[in-house]
Amino acid sequence: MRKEHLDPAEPSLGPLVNAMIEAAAVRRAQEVARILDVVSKSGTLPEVFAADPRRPDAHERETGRQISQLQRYILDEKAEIQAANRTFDVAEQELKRQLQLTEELSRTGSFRWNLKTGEDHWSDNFYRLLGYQPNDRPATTDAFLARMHPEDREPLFRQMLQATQMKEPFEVEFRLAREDGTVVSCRSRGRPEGADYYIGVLMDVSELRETEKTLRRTELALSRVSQRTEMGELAASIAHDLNQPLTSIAANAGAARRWLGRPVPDIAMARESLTCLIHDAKRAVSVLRGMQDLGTTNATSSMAFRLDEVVAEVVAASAAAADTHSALVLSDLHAGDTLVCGIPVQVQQVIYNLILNGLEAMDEVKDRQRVVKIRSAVLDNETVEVVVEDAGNGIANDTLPHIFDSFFTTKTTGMGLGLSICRSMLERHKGTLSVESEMGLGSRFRMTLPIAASGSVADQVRGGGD
Amino acid sequence: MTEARDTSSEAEITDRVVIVDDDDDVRLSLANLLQSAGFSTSTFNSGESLVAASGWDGSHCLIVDVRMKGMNGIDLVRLLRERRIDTPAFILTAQCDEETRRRALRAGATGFICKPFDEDELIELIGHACEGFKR
Repeated sequence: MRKEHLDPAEPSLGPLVNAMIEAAAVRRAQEVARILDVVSKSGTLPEVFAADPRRPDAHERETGRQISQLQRYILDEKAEIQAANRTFDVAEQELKRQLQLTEELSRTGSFRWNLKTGEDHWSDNFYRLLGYQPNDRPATTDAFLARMHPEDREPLFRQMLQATQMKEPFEVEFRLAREDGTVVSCRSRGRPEGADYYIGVLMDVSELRETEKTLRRTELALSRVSQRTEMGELAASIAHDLNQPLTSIAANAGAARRWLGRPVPDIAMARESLTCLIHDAKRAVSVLRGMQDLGTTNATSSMAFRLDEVVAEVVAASAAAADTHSALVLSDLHAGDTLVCGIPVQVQQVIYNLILNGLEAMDEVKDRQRVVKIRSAVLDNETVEVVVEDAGNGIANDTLPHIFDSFFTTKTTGMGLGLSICRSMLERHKGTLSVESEMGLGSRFRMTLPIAASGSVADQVRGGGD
Repeated sequence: MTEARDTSSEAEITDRVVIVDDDDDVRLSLANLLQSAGFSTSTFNSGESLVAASGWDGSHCLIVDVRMKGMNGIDLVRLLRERRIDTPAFILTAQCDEETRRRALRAGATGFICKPFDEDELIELIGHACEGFKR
């Protein structure tokens, strides 16, 4: 009779209790059945219940005794069933307690959703994860969606609807916005159960997301340290390469002066010193030329590429940075198949740099959504533009004319080379980079690039077989 | 590969300086400068070639570049000191940081010359070292 209360998915205690009840019931039932069988077949009571022929009233007394005995059997059985039920209740409570504890410790909650009636069953911890008290309201889809972060509500609803229509398992990730203002990152997994039900779990993954954020920040910091290390190594290498000819120049110049300054000037040695000096100077010049080449577009790696494709890649790559700054990077690309010619990775570096600047510019913004918008558009037959717009606090008028200057920075870190290098890179691509800004509203960086002549670049198109 | 250019004259006893540097321009210009100031010089393009050569141990001073292919200048000075060669040895380097200086002195270097150097100071420094060693 209690079997229906036991969840087949729960541990083995339930079946054990059921087995106990059944065994007791079977024993009693067998005994009663045996007596009734004897009575029905012989028309008399079994031997133990048989009347004493010597005492005619004894039959009635015996019948009464036998009825009492049967009643005792029935009472015993009831008592046994009650005892088993008590054991069952204790076991059921223990199971519930263990499930609750497990859900609390693992920060999960479980649900059962009747697709036909729309009725939900939520575990206590499911209520708690949503920011409710257990059973303080009916478990309904509306109550669930009410806790959903407004930005996640619609996409989540769509995903769930699609999964349930197809009767497919789902796994969704979204944010919950509790009444006290806290935002919880959650993941939910569910699967169909029979024809009418969905069962699943809700997990609080906030800690995991925080850890991932920390990890990304560390990676970012590491990549910056790595960049600085590379810069340091590069600087050390350049310093060494320049030091050698400069040392020789100083030594040969000094020698020439001394050869000439002798009581009998040694013209030949002085001339040789000067010849060496010229050689050293040429060596120094070649080192400097090498440095200049480092930053110059290499014609062999230049190619035609679809601007929107490389912009989309940067937007995707900046998701982690956006998350770190609690901001969004949105794109609205309309350059289509327009091709530009150059080094895709350099164009990406420029856009990425502008996005990072935009994200950093919004760190202090509290009263509006932090969004960096990237737009691309074909301006005319020759020019395509990409606009990177942030919702930061803008750039002061006296600062604005200097932001593309080398070593000019408003940040506490960095050398102030970012925007200067961005502009140089674009200029090498025959493009431009300009800025407009309004205090309190944000800044808009506008880059333009020339459209590649389609005939001359058709064979070089990046990813060109499609 | 040994390269030794001995400019000493047998007729006069001048201060003899050994220069070890794998950069041809630096090595030869340094020798040129010292010769113009009256020193005689022997030059080697590696620590290994100096160790393998003979006849330079009568020199009064060594100038050793720190960053060379093969054995570096600091290891070369350490090796010479282990062989009880106590000729004054100056480390020539563009890395004039404290760490390099400490390592050089710990290895037994007499002093430290930063590239590019002031020619007058260099000549004075080497002159003093030679005089001191001769005494």
